[in-house]
Amino acid sequence: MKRLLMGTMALLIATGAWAAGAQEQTMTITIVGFVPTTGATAYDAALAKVKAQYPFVEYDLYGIDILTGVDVTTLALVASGNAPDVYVDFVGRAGKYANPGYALELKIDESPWIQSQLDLFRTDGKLYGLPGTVPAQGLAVNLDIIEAAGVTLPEGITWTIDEFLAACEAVKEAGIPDVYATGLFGTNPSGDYLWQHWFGSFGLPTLYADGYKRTLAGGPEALETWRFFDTLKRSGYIHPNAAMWNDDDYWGAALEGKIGMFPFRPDWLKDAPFRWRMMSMPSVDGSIVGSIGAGSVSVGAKTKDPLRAAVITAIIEAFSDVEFQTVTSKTAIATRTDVPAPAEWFPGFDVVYECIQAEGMLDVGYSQRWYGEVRAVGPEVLHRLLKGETTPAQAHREYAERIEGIIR
Amino acid sequence: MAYAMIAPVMLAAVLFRGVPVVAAVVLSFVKTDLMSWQWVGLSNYRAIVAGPIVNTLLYVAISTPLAVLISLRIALSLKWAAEGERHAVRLLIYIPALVSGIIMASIWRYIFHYDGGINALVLRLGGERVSFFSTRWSAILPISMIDIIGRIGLGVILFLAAVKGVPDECYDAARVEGAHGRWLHWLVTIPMIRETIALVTLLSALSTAQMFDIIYALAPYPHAQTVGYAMYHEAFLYGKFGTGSAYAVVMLAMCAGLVVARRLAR
Repeated sequence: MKRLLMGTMALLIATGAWAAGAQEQTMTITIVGFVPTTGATAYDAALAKVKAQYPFVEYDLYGIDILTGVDVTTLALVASGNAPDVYVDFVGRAGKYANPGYALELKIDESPWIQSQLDLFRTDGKLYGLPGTVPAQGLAVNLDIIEAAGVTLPEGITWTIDEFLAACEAVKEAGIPDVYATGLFGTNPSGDYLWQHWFGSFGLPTLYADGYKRTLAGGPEALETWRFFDTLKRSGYIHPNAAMWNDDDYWGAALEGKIGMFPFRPDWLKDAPFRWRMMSMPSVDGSIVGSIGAGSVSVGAKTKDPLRAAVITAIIEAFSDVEFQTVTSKTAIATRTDVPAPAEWFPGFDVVYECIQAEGMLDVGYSQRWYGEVRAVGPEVLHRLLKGETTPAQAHREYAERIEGIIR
Repeated sequence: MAYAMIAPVMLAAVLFRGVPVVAAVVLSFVKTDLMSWQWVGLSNYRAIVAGPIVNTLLYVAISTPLAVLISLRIALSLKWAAEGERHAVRLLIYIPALVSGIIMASIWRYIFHYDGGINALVLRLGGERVSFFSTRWSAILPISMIDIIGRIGLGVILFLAAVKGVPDECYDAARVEGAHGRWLHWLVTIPMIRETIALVTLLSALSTAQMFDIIYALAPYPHAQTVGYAMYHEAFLYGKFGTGSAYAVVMLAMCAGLVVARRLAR
């Protein structure tokens, strides 16, 4: 009997050791984000590179499931206590995780990066997120509409607000059925960077000051922007139902050739059935306006396991290294200094790049934890303005006060 | 033995129904974005705005009686219809109930769109385009109509079953007493199926009170939001899971109120 018990014990211990050994042979890393959905070679190559370095790593990939601008997959995983090891997504969604409460501190050689890009993801000097390339935007001009309206565009990329409004009036006067000079949408927060770009046109390089402790949305430049939105509506330069539009309506109308001039990313116009060119957003004095980016950031989940931390860091670095950025910067702007300018840039990105070189990127608070809450305020205020329920002054005041209330 | 037999189902009910309800109640007293937690007492309830609650009550008040009346009327019309005719009408009416709410709402979105079917008709008739869903009433009325169309299928099926269950002898006795035509329904059918009427009313009111998909697809605006949509809006758009949970508790209270009212009315 004793022998039998001893034998059983030995068998159990051996089986346990074998199972534990088998477990140690693989490490599953959960990644939520663009990777599985894009099928992009750059992501595949980056993952293969890490796999070559750590052969025991297996990837569990989840696509992002965006509902009205929010990634539900990540929220569900975080809520259930299964936070993904790596989350790579649009900075407006992933940025809020790049903080000590959730994220792994990234101990990397930071020298190749543009430091201002990294600063967006620092807390107390420590880095918690690594940006990818930034697919930034400018003002797209539908040349078919503009020429039909008899508008002569400036030869350079800059123009004034007055010139822009004159072009709007010409498009309106041309009376092309179902065509509007420009576009706004007032029902959902997704794609907010498309209309927020206009704050830059009136001289706001950022919506925040004092380390995001204060908003500039209460200043005179922002008031002028709200007045401008009101002018677009009252003058009939935007669709009469723009208050009820969401970003998909805006997108659809722009790509169907129903909007003359609109903030947009050049690569989104890839299959546009009309001739187009990019320009800087117009400004009050005709100077160049910075761009707004809607790039990605990679964030790792905190872990006490040093090996897992090393693997996560390697994946995040691979999603932003020279090879990766060289491939993805053809339709975006690199965030590393050692990435060469693409020989064949996608049309229009040269203009966007010029805007960024001159005036940088407009900061709308993407990387802040409260960004999701703040971005939901804009369409509510814009919706009422476009419906004529509030004045520009009221919209300006409400927008600033509500943002202030959230970030305080 | 009986308890052992129902134990798995009870366990599942507690795990998948009871625990989330308790969790939602606890979350409603907490400020959280799922990464940090802070006990805030009743603050989330104070943050609730009246609009979604009023809208929900309006949807229930408009949709429920109309859905019940229309489905009852159709069922009564089919009481003495030929078998084939009854099957055909039942199938036709039940189709909207089979279609997912979000798909039906997306189809209606095209119909009510500013450049959609109804406005095309309005323009052809010389009128001005209507911006549906842009105000409280221009949203609540069409949404109620869509909700009713989706609800009458189940109502008709339940009412038909109940109406068919009324014995013919009762009608014969009523006819002997001098009743005829619609009085037969007033005096015989309706009193005998009043339990089913109450059930359909309750089911319809509960479904409307929890309406989300139609609002999400057609009118996610403050003036048209239901409590169900406001819950999603606060939690998943604003990242305010505490306030979202407070809305969930309010919705639970509203639905529980409907059930209690039904019990008291029996």
